[in-house]
Amino acid sequence: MEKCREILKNRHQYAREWKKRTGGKIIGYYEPYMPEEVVYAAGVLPVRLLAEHEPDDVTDRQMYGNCACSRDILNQFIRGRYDYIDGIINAEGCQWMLNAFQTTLNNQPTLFNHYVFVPDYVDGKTSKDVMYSELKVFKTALEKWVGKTITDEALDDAIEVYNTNRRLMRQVYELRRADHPVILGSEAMDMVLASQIMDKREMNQILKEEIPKLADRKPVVDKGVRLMLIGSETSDTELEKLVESLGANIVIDELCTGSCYFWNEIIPQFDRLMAIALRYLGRPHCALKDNNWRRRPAHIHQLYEDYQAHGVIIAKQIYCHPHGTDNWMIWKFLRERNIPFHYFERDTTLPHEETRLRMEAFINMIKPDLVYK
Amino acid sequence: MVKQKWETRPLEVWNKAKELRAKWQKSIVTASSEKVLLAQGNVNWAVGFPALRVIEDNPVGAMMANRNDAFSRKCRLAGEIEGWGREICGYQLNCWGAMYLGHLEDGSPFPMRDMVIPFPDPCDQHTKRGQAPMDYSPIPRWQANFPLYTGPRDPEREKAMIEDKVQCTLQMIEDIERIYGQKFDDEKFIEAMKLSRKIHAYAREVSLFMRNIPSPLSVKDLYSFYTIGGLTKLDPEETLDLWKSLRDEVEWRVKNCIAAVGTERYRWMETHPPPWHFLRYYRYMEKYGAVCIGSQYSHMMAGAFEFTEDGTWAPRDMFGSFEDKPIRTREDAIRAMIGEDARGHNFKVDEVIRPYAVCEFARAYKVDGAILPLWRCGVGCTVTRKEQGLRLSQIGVRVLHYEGSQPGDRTDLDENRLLDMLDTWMESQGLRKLED
Amino acid sequence: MITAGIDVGLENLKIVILKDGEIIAAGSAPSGGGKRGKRVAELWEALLKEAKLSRGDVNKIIATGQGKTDVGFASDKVVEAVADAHGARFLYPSATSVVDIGADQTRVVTLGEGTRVLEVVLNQKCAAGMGLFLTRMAGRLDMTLDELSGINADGNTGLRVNDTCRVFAELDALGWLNRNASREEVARAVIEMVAVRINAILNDKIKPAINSTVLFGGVSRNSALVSALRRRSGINFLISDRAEYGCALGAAVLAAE
Repeated sequence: MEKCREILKNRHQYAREWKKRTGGKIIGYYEPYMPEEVVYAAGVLPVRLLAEHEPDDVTDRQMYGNCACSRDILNQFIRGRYDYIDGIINAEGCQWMLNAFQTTLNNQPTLFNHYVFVPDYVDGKTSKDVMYSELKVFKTALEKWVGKTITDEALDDAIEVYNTNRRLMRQVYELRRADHPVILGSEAMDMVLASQIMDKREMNQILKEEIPKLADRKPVVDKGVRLMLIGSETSDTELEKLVESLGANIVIDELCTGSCYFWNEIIPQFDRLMAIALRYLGRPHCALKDNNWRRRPAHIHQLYEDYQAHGVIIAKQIYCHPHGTDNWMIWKFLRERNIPFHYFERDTTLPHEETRLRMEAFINMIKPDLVYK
Repeated sequence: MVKQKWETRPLEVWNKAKELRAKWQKSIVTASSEKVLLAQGNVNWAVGFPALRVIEDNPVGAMMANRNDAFSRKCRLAGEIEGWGREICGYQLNCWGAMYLGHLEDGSPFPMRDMVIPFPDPCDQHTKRGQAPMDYSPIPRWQANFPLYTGPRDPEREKAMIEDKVQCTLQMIEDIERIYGQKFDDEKFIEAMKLSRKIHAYAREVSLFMRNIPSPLSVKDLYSFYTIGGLTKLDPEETLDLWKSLRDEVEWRVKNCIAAVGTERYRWMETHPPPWHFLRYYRYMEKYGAVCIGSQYSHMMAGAFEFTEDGTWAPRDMFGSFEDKPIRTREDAIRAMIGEDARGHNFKVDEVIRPYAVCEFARAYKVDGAILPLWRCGVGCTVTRKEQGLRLSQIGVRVLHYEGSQPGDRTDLDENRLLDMLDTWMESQGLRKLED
Repeated sequence: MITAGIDVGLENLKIVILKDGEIIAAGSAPSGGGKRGKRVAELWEALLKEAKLSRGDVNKIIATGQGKTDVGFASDKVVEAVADAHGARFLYPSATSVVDIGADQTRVVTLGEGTRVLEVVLNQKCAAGMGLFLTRMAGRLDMTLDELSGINADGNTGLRVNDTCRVFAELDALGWLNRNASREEVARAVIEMVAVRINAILNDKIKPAINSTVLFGGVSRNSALVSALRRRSGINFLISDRAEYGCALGAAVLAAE
């Protein structure tokens, strides 16, 4: 657990050491719909670009109104924190991330780059054909860049490594269902975030070693209030730690950088690219992709019930439009089911005092219900 | 009395446009009583159905902002109470707030939508448009994609994207026929497609005429027309007639040096919609002899821009290569409508992928300055705006940025501050007001 | 020739009287909110008395600043950016930019030939009111503005306050005090936040030159902020002892042209 936290904290150092060790290239990506397996099969390490909350006095020149995540990623590129990145990929997601992608390229035009169009209409009859076509184009572009063919064997290997990681993370999350979990929300989130910036093979090794040890851990008994976290992507565990300091525990999430990242596996089939296409189109919907058949409410509700949460925290990044537009529907179904929730807006930094007041009030509001249950 | 350099005259065809817009608004309000289906969305093929009208929350939200601020605010509050982020698109908050309240500004019932056909667009808000009525009441919704990719056009890559668009559209039409029992009139649709081409041709000419010095129209004049046939869909013949009349009158104005602003000495452009409740800032700028010739957004009635063969930056013929291809079937018409470029109307694509396209527009329309609003609540309105400002500055166009919420939301727009900023901008360029 | 420039700011009025290119009187007073017009007239009379002049001796008066329309007796009005340009070139003939940080507004003016303005960048709303914010935070930290100005802004601190919104920043600062952080550490975090916001404006459009950028405005007297800003931006600001009168001076210079 500590190892994941350390790697996450020193992510740039980890990446530089990986490059030195393997001689490989690193690709940064903005959206969870980026088909990582194709990149990994090319021998390139895909690294999720995450915000780091460094004071920003350089992006105003080029950006306005962006969410803090996208703005901070650009901030880091301009400051040279990502100087080890050899290329950037954007898979169709939200416009702010596209903006960050495009502006970074305007600043650093020599970076390898590619745009993968992932249909917003993920459920359409011909959407999988579009996705499949895009993966073929992407694979060709990658092959040209790395100077070698991405073989079926390499794809099979990448799919297996990634599927293994997903299964192992599901095992970690399963442990959080317990009445008294052995793992805190911040710890679990550290692991998920670390898995997005690490070589999955190495991460799998850590998980295989750590998961058995978790069985010997003392269960957490002093955090009686179980909460679910949904909303915009996060890149740290400040909120989780704050909640824990107030006697509660986040037992499950429905975040792009959290459970949605690993929730479903690739079902292998002969046509590897189609298998990958179907997995990415079929994963738990990001707010931006939850357009036609509204899957998010059902998925959120199921997780809420399965993990026996007592309440929901909706933490939306300010200026996050997909989540802001989904909000009304999420509130509606939570209200209809009498599920307590607290909504607030996040920014570059988590305003500590203000957030603490909110969380304290929400947790205390739920506590009497638990006593009387 | 300020000395005018050129003669000015009101547009004669303006009343006709006003009539048509009023007709369209009435058709939306009476749709239900006329037993006509109302679709949230904006698709060209809706004309093929005998009893289907389309409407988007834009321009509804924009019109609300322009006409009745007090009601707009009530609507936004109604939206926020339901959970809409405060900083979400003002057009949506206005329109769906009215839906939650159950009535329009005049007290008449809110025209509930019968189905949702989204308007595919790279803007995140557009992608999720129509979710509000769909989540509010059980109505069917369809979805389509707006393909996007970076780099030069790749026709091979676009095959799957175009096929997807065609199939989605065909599916939508079939579904509507099946669910609502309305027969789609292919002939009428094909005819409308052909008329569309003529409408675009007139709109292109109007757009090109605005490059003239003095400009025969200001963008404020253009706003009375630019949605007609696009966001506000009317009878194609009437629409064609209006655009022809406008084209004829603008051509006459150019030949006779009739200006939109008689003291024109400074030309400026903008990007994206203005604050609809504060259009008087155009008149304020005219006190400096400054005329606004519009933006790629307001010129979108003319279609996508491109470099023509002689190297000029101009709206292109959207139907170009289909001129020689017969349009006989529904699918032929849909393919002609979608075109061969999967990436759709280019001004949006240009903003996202090529912020410097705005420089080409600036050069073509001979602008001295550009006012680029920063709409903090409009993702599609604001993305790349600062970069565009930098690029315009690099080619010698003076740029002013001002902040607000969103064109349909006056909450954060400090009107007095904006006027002060306009004074600072003009005076720092050595221009003082010609009139008070 | 005797001319005067009157800068009516949100918090303070500044007046400068020039005679044949020399400053013969300068003074400031709180603007007084709704009583601005009255306060202008009072300060004007006081300065005339100090300079041993009567109203009729002054050939031309130009008003500038947010409240310029309150100066009914001014011959003309000019926007602040133009006044800044004239003031900067008067004090530093080879200046290429001027940064004016006031109570409510921050401006970066890039100068062209003579007193021509090439570009003006104004703060957006989130960076509004930096001067006012410092005044308020000094009060919160139980410090005078001079004490706040005297802190070591370049020392290391792990403390941070929100650097996007000053309302959140204030809440964060109070939170740190509640958690027993020292006033000096919190002050340093606050100063850093203001420096970040202002540096973002300096980095917008045309970055001011390192050795020929003038700093105007009352905030120029805050040594801690100036030091933090120097560190973040790399700019060696030219700061006159008349810096807070820069805009009023520029208006007076313009009046003499």
